[in-house]
Amino acid sequence: MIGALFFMNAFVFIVFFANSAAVLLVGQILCGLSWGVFAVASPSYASEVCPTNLRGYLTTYVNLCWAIGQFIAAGVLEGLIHRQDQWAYRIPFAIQWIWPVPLMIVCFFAPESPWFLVRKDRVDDAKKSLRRLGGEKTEDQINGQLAMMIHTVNIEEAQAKESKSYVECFRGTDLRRTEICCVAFFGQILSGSSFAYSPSYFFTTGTMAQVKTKSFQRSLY
Amino acid sequence: MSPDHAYQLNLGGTAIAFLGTVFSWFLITHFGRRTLYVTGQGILCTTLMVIGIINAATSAKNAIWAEAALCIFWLLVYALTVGPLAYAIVSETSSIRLRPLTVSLARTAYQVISKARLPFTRTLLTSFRS
Repeated sequence: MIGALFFMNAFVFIVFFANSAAVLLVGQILCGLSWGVFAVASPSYASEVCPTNLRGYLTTYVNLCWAIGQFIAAGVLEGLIHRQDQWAYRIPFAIQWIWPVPLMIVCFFAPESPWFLVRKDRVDDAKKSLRRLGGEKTEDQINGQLAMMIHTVNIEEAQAKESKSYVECFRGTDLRRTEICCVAFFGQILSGSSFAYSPSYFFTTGTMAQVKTKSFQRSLY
Repeated sequence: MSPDHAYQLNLGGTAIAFLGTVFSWFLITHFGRRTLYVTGQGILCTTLMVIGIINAATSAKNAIWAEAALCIFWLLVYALTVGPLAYAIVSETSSIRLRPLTVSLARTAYQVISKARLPFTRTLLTSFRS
């Protein structure tokens, strides 16, 4: 996470100082690499770190953060829409620099996921993580929780004849799980989000001048 | 509708999406993941059909405000159900051993579909104008 945030900072330099469309494209592709890491690491970390009864809230909070981001983006664009110079498109890219550094600091102090540590056989670090995450748990409860995690990981390792690989995701019950997860994300797009997320295009249909509005660009996004 | 109105509706729509995501926390306390997801998809599909029917049935100038209201309603239902639940379902359904792999596979599938639908969306949007 920290690495991805650091590279995000670096890649926004490329996008900000781009003076041609090709450089902009390369910069955006590189930024996309970081975004991909965020999109995968956040739900995984959220689901592993929080207690079971809060898991639903924290994972949907990831979507809330996407919504907040879109809201901020809409506000930024609303403020800059009337400028005609080069800063109209550079300032939004520059605003992307605000976020990685505080997030890097927070990520540095956040506890590492205990499930990840148990899988890597770093049991002492896992216990420290659990203690930080546990709140007012007694030492016995933490030991019990740790023992259960080690037991679960051992069972899963014993069940898996092959090592963890992408091929494993397409076998047996894991195939069903992969299908459910993929279709869950498909539903976000196939439910017509492209039509309703850019209603401004439909509302201004008519002349070519209105097609050139920013809303048309975003509807193709 | 003037571009200014459209712009303001867009901004209001993102605010509604934000609120919908917050209220989805209350919904997932009381209803199951699948109930919410499937019901949400059904409501979204019905809303889009109604928008299409209104557009095809009448060309009155005020009909566009009805369509705008239904689009905002679509955003609200999306933010209440499908939007957040996809993340919750993906995190909880994958087995612990394969969780990072499954999440990244699902995210890759999402990106592939979101690029694959661009030609369709572009054709539909531009042919709609002509």
